[in-house]
Amino acid sequence: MFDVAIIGSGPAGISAALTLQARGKNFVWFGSKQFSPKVRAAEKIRNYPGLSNVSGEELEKAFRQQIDAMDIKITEKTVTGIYRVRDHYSVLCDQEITNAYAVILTTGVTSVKPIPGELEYVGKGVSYCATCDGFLYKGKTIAIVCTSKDLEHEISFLAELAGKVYLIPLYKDVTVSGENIEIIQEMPKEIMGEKKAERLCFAEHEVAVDGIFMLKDAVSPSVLVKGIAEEGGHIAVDRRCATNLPGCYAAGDCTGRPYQYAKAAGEGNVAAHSALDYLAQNGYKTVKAFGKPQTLEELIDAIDRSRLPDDAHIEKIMLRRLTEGAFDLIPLSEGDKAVNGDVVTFSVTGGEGRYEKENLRLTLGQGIYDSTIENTMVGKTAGDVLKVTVGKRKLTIVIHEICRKQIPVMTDDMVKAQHIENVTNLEQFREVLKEEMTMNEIYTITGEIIQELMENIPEPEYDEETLAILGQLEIGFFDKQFKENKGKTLDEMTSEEMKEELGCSTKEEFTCGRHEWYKIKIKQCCALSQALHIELKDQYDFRSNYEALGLLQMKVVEVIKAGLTGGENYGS
Amino acid sequence: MVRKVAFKDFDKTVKHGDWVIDFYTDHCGPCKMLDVVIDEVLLDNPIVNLAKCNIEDDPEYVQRFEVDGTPTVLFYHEGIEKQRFVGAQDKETIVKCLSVSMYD
Ligand SMILES: Cc1cc2nc3c(=O)[nH]c(=O)nc-3n(C[C@H](O)[C@H](O)[C@H](O)COP(=O)(O)OP(=O)(O)OC[C@H]3O[C@@H](n4cnc5c(N)ncnc54)[C@H](O)[C@@H]3O)c2cc1C
Repeated sequence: MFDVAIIGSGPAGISAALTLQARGKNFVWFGSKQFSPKVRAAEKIRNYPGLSNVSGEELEKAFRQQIDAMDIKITEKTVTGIYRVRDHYSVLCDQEITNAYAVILTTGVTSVKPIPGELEYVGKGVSYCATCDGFLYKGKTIAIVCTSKDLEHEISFLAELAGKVYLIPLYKDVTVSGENIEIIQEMPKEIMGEKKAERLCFAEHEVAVDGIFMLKDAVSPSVLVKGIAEEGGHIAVDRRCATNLPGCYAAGDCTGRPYQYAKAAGEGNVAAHSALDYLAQNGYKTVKAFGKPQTLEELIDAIDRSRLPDDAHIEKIMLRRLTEGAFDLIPLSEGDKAVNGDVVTFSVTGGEGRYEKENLRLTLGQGIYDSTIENTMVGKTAGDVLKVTVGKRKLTIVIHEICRKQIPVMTDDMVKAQHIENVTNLEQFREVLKEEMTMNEIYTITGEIIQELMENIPEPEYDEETLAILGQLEIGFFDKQFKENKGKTLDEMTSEEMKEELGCSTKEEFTCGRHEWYKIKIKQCCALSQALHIELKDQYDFRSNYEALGLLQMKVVEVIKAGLTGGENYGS
Repeated sequence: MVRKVAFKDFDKTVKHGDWVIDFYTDHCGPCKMLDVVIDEVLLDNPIVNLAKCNIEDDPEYVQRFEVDGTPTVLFYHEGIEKQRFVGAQDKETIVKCLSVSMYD
């Protein structure tokens, strides 16, 4: 959990980040290390206080120096959704969820406005997420409208699944290609269809499709944040840069004109201060690690221990697994009063529709039936007759029964019904669950720490010879696998079979395509060797053992687990 | 009640009472997000049930319910579809759909 999440890295985001850092807040900042294309693009800037007549590149440099000097880190990810959950926000980047008490939106304005029909057909043939929905279009005809070269890997992913792809690139230097890809260099005008998206229309012609993917590097605020209020295509804010959602602030171009650096920076500052007030008023506070952690030990120390599942949470999950979340409902004894969470059976007369019905059931305090009526029912007893006014209706409500939920008692028999090997009683089930949930989190944490360790070391040398050796090692590994599973080595396969298994028709093509991965592998080995004080020789020599990185990763998981769980034999 | 429902068991599972039916896949970020929001509304509500339907394990769901995007969520009252939405939504939307499905 963070205090604040900032989305966007233009002048507004930068200003907010500087302010939060100066106040020692624990925040996460999503954006790009290049900050904003709109900063770099400017030829001459004459109206930014303190810097006279600079170019965009110079302004960017000044921003970078300031960010580096303040030791602020940018998380290079595109945010795809923001949702309010209980007292905080969950920020979604593709499949990863990050939580924060407050958010500051500084996403700028996108030149790519939604095309007519796009928003209406979302979920009805229009999708923003290749990994989520790609498989629904296996073998079918799709159109892909793509705004950024950075998203080309998603085009390739979709092209492998789909039968036919119309690609509409809204960027320069297209490098994807494929037999089933037809490129259309034209701005689409509209999406049309009966019940769902069926045609993508251009000025003079149209194409028939089963689905349309809109791959964008930025989406409109209402798609990004569920329930946010807009005004004329911008996020509606007040003078404090507050949106209609509690703890959600917006700054910069995304709140409206004028589109200017100084206005963006000014609002970023206001939004940060409003977020600070919000945190203070609600008493929200997360823990921040001091200084910039460098060593493995420091990085482990900086991890928020509350990320590991606590006993109460484990108990809750356990209950859910064993009882499928079912409750027993026990009628209250005579005279006992209803409280929120109780289930009330009642009849209502004097209105129409839902206000004229017998034997309805509701759960008190959720507002699913009617908040006014639910509030009135609190403190009442079975048999009570209530007179309630809802709008113009004068209703009479008779309470027949009030039931309280009872958490079912968990038994060893419930555990046995799960058929888990060697787990036959509650105690064992709890331990297994604890281990599973803890390890899940530890793997996530390990991933984060390895990233961090890799950033802390200089780039190693990647000579051709080493890359070639890693290629041979990997081919050797596959050969062994195929020999065992299919009875043939790669050399014994036809080029079609090879294409099926490896996605490439020759071994050379395959290993060349893997060079980027080999470089990461080398860097990870170097980073882990330093962090763990293990020399890269014998079994840890990545030039002779294909599994060297795997061994190092297992070691680091062990160290992190011991560090986070107090070194005791946690779980099992 | 929260139950993972296979295609062959679908009709008999959701025949009675109020059900929220969540068509999802394991590698869909918005699905995970929606889980959290749905839990907030349903976890402590004993009279609404949740059916989790993995459309990759049971692709028959896609055809029958015309699933065009994930997550797709249906609201059933006594075996009849009353409401539907696609994509992760906020708590208010879920409460509103439930309200219509259960009482109107
Ligand atoms: C060519 C040009 C010249 C200009 N000259 C001037 C000038 O001389 N003076 C002046 O005052 N103004 C000028 N402007 C306007 C100025 O660039 C903008 O007003 C300013 O950049 C707005 O800042 P911002 O922080 O609101 O948004 P932006 O600078 O647009 O930054 C938004 C950032 O957020 C990122 N982002 C968006 N969505 C997401 C997401 N979902 N997840 C993660 N990151 C996301 C974007 O990638 C981008 O980096 C000029 C603009 C242009 C294009």
